[in-house]
Amino acid sequence: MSRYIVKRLLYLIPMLFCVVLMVFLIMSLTPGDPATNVLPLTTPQEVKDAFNESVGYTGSLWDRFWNYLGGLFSGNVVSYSTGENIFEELKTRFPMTLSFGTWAFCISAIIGVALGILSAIKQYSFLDTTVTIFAVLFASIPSFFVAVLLILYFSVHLGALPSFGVGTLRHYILPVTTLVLANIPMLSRMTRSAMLDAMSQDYIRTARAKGCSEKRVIWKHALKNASLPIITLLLSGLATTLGGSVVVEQIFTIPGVGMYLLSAVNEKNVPVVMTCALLLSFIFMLAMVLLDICYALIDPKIGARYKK
Amino acid sequence: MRDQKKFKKMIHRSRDSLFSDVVKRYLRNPAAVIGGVILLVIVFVCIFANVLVPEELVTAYDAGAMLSPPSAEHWFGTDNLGRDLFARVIYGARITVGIGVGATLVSLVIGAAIASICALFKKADLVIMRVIDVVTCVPSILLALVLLAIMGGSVLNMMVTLTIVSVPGFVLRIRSVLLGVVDQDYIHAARVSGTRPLKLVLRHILPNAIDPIIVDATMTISSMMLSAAGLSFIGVGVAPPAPEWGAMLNYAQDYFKTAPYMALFPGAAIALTALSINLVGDGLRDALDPKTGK
Amino acid sequence: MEQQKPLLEVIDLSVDFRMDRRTLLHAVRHVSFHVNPGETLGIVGESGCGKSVTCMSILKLNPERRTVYPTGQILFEGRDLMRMPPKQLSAIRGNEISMVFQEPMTAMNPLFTIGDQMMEVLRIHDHRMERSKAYKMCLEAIARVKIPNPERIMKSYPFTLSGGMRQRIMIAMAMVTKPKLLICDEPTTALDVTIQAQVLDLMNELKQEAGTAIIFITHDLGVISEMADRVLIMYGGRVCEAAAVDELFTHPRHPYTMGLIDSRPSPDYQGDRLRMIPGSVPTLKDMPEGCPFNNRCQYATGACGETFPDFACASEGHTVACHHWKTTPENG
Repeated sequence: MSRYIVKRLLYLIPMLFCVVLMVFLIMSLTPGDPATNVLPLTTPQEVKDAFNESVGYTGSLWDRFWNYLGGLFSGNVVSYSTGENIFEELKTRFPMTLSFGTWAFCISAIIGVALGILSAIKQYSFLDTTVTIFAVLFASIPSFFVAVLLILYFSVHLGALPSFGVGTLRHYILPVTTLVLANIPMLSRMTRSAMLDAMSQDYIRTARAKGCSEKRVIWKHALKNASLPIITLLLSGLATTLGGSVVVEQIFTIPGVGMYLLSAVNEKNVPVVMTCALLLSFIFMLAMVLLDICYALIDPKIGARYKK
Repeated sequence: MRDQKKFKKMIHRSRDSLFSDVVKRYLRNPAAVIGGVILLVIVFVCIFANVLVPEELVTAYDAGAMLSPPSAEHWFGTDNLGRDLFARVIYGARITVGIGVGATLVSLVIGAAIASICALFKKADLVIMRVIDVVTCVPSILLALVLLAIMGGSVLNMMVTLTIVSVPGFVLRIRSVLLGVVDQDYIHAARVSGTRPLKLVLRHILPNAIDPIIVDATMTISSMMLSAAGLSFIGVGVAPPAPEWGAMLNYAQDYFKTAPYMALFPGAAIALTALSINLVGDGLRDALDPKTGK
Repeated sequence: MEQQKPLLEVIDLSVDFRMDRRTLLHAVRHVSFHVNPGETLGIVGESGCGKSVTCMSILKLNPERRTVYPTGQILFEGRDLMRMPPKQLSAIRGNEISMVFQEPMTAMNPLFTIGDQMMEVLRIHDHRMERSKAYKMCLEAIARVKIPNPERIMKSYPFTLSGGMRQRIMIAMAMVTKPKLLICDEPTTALDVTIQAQVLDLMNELKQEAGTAIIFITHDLGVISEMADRVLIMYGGRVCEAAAVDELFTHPRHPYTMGLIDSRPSPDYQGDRLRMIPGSVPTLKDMPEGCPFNNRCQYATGACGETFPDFACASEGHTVACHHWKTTPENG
């Protein structure tokens, strides 16, 4: 098993390389050097050249690519727009995104899975119908509009909660709520259908025939079988949550990775975009490795394959 | 011979009754019917927008009536430049629905083609799956941002971007449906009897896998619309002055205190459209496959 | 003849399935039968005749939400399972009445070891039982169904076992609590013929050893003649004939039973075609009025399309539900 995990992790290296290369090539399709993009139009050419030199924009396309990779390993990649080390900038921004994302992820995981299980157990009950209606409704309202509505009500109308910036715990409430409301519909619906699917299997009938109480049937036999699709959705949702941070950070003006990425894309700040892409892809890939491990641990059939 | 004819007739009849069964099941689901009606109205609005409201109103600045709240003259009020929001929301339907439907259809066709290749040819499948592995590791929002930044924001570029971003997902989902069908005995039979790959796919495989694909595509339309609106909202999507709903919400951000209706109407329009499509999708899934779902 | 007190008595059981708000399907109608201690009752019928539903009803294992029981009593040692609170019913399930299902490939939870699943039966019915004792009992039960190396089996997962092995494990699991009644729902249908014979032998042996009564459901008359003491023939949700196994094969009274017996190949049969029952089993939706067999029956008259015939006693312990049982030729 551990050998398999190491193998999977090593496999990430070429994958990440491909991702970086892909983003680099797409970004390089746009014309213009950093100086032209960042400095005023009237700047003399010498100043522009000096600027380009200072941020590492020299040589051919491939030179720049290898330069960037070299910079990655020495921990020194420079942003085109500020000339700062990107890692330094990410050091303050990433924890911000991570803390919002973690809060949102944990809360929506708990509520979403709980609602899904409850509405599966009490299929067609009042609770189930309500959850289903809310799930369909909130799956249709885009997260930015939810954010707008929350701001309109809690910040503008009631004046109770801050609508932008970071600092206190109160700043977390609206952005985290937005992300949670965006995640719950899918989660609760998937959990519900996974549970219902598990509950309709033959082995559930066997468990009942053995004399298991309904509680035991649900929490032992059905839930373990339903856990695989739920974990799959949760872990792939991790990436969506981080991706969704671009929109949420923009609305609530949170200086995190999302906002950093967005402005970098608009300024054609190639190294920043590449580094952010690397970071987000890396997190996503780690989540997928974790998912494989979960599968191997829960499903003995898959586990047996990796033991050899 | 006569028996064969009779047999064909029987198959035909059972297929007809199947279709009418689907319609019957769909109509028995109130949520799906409501969604369908709303969707029909929205499609109607898209087609006859120019009959409902003169097109000039979309960009006509009325300096005398900036940020005026909803009234008899301006049903949804006016924005910061004095443009009639009702007209903009109506014409916005064309853009948003157009992007959603267009991008979905194109990526559906491309995705189905690639998925068919995967399902038929083992070697091509290996290569394609490796490529998709890499592509899906890049968060789709990042890919969309980068693509839009290069191409610039326009309706067409938005459609291209969303198509590129959603093709891998389509390939994966359609492929898994097709692989289920390809393994059936009747496909083996067709293969052994020398049916050519293209005919095999078009005549035998796709028709038997069409139900989940239809449902999937319906749901994709709404998620595409939401993505398009989201990208426009953060300022990288459809460029002004086009009345894209997400972009309209973006301008509205500066006027939350004075003119909240500027945000409410376009936002509600997005939500209502996505909702109707999702309801139709859910209804179709339950009607096409009564076993799954509830 | 002195009748002993039956172990299980099913009285006038009807089962309906709710399809949607308007449609109710009558899966089982007014079925009565009994099982004596230690005897094997065979229930025979084509697929969809309600034999499985009847047996699921005994332990109330039909899909709860969709099932309605409009009439009926199920008395197990005098206790009515039908109206029993869920907790008490759970205490009987798997303990006093066990079940073996048709599909051994899906009947076991794929994520738990055989040992886990087997010991679970023992320990939910006796909370104080120690793990080591439960483990030992399971080993014995596995050994009794003639699987070598029980220790290894206890540790393995269902997916590593073949269908025949799984079905034996299921039987072991059902027998480990020494139930008074074992319900087998087509336990051999999904197995190869050779394995089938082994499993049947095994069940007969176990029955001899433990004195367990068995309800054996099948559509295979051959299997029934080997296994059962008494036979119940079902068609269209109704019981049409019930008799001791020899009596039934030698003196079938119901046209359907005759059809079934005629349509199976026998070693001394030399003709080029088997006889068959014309037509096919109607679905529950379009079950005919009156006797459900009337549209396929060569003896049917007007009365058959109107009322379901009362049960008549053809001989000792032989009942038949047919308007014309007296006039039909006695030997097919």
